[in-house]
Amino acid sequence: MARSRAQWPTHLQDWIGFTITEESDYTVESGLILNWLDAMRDGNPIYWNEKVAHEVSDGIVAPPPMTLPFSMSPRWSPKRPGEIWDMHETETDYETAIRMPMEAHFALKEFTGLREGIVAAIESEFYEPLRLGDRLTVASAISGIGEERKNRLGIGRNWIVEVTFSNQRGDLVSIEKYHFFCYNRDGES
Amino acid sequence: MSARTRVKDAAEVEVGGLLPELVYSVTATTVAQGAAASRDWQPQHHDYAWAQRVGTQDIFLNTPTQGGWICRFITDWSGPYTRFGRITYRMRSPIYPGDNLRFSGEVVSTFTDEMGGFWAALKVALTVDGKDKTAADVLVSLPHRNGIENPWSRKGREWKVPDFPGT
Repeated sequence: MARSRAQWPTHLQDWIGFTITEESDYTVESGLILNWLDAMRDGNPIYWNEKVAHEVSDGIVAPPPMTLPFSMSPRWSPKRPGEIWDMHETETDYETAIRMPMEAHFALKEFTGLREGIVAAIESEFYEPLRLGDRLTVASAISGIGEERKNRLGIGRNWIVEVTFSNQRGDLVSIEKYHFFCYNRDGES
Repeated sequence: MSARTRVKDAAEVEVGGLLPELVYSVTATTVAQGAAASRDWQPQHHDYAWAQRVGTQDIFLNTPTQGGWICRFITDWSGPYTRFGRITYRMRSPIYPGDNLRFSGEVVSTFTDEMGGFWAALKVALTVDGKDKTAADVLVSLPHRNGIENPWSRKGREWKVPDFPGT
């Protein structure tokens, strides 16, 4: 695990393969699943109906994209009260919290000084389903960095962040590859 | 299983077949609720003033929310035995409150894997007023042989996720 800045690579090429691993603060639970179904108006019974889920999928499972909310670092946690994930950059009394599952990406943004980032594409593969009571471990890795280039957004680089999710039994749950373009707007350095 | 629960069997899936369209009017609540359900507190998904300041016209749907809607769109068609293998999303432009979001989908190929599992490759398009917003390729496994083969029954190494056909 490479949580601290002291462990960051010092040369850009050495970031390829750089990995940060962290266990999620959350367990897979029905409350957040129901919030998700509410948000998407999704009535698929394997996500909420125990009888049908038992018959179809050997118990309730979470929708596949929910690896993200079940591994997202909290903004603030009583486990680390001096840290916060401050997206508005106004809470100066705190240290910066780890920001999983994308910590490798945020670390590389800081290293390169590229302030903006967009996701152009995501590739997801799904293996063992998320089941109630599961707790994910997340490995966030840089798997590729492109040359500096300029486009209509500004000057920056493409890179790929590969996030691997495993459950508490060590089973692979999913792999997600995020294709970013990170940049500074023209006139910014 | 409720009689109202749709179960799409491999025998019912044909290449070129279209999924029933879904149209949904996106509101600010849609965007914020999706962001909250995915625990995504990045300001562009809930803070209008921030969105204006960074140059987007409004808050916009985050990617996990789009993934959730795509999964729902597909399983509305294919039913709970559907098991997802792959989804690849390409985001073309943001989806904002006020957008009348249309989901359309087509079966582009089908095949049986080495374990006997049936797969369908789908193309899904999210459009607003005919303009592309997000395109997705999706690989799902469906039951076949009159429901005897259930994708969810494949455990551990029995569940292999194939590449998209033609890649």
